[in-house]
Amino acid sequence: MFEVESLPQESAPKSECASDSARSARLYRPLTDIIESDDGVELRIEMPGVSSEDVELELARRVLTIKGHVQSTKPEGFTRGYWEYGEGDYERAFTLSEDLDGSRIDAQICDGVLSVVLPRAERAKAHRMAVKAA
Amino acid sequence: MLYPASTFLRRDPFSLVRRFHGDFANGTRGYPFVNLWHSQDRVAITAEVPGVDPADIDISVKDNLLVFSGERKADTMPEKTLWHQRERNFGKFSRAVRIPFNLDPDKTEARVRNGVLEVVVHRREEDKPRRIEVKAA
Repeated sequence: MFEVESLPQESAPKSECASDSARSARLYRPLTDIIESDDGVELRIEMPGVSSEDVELELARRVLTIKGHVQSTKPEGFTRGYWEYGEGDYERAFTLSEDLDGSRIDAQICDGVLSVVLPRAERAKAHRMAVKAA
Repeated sequence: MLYPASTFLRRDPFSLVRRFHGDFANGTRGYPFVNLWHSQDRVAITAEVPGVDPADIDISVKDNLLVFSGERKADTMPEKTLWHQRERNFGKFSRAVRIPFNLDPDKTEARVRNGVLEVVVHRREEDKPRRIEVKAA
């Protein structure tokens, strides 16, 4: 039915990872919630440090690739001390089912959480028929 | 060191390694993870807090301790929703960071940008090292 699943990590092109490394050292797979309702499917993806201009969504052959470029949070005039988390770009790919309309994808980012709404295709919506008494 | 055979015959062959690693990591790290930056009289702390409303973050400063706490509120869901995948976590959090000098609460600045919290704390004026001039007798 509605198969929205992440691709195995190996399917990400290696060369692309290498070219991305010029911008920042690491590539992270962001944590994602996938929620389905009557109207479609929503992805909620945690991308701290990514602003709305730095998100890239690409849909090719039903594979939705989401990339986020992190602006360094290094404060001006400070040197790096103790370190618990790493900074890097985010990338994750999802395969969309036929039931979702790829042409009406809506995305917005708020407080570092990207929300991608994939509406259900018109033809996939359930139709209710009334049964008349004879 | 000798381990009884039963240790290895469990379903998870890496449980020993995992337990060892867990012992190591649990005490020192907690959500949210923080990075520390320093300069002469200031320390900056950055923490990733995606999905947290900046208004929900409380920051307090006392002596040399900086505490920040808040809540990751679970999103409101329309009725009849189906979860396909759930990786994000929600709930209250609190983190204390000890800074190697006494802090000036009036000069503490904090901002949240794209889900990353940044707090800059200043060293107390009385705490700063003073240069003493040496006079010739």
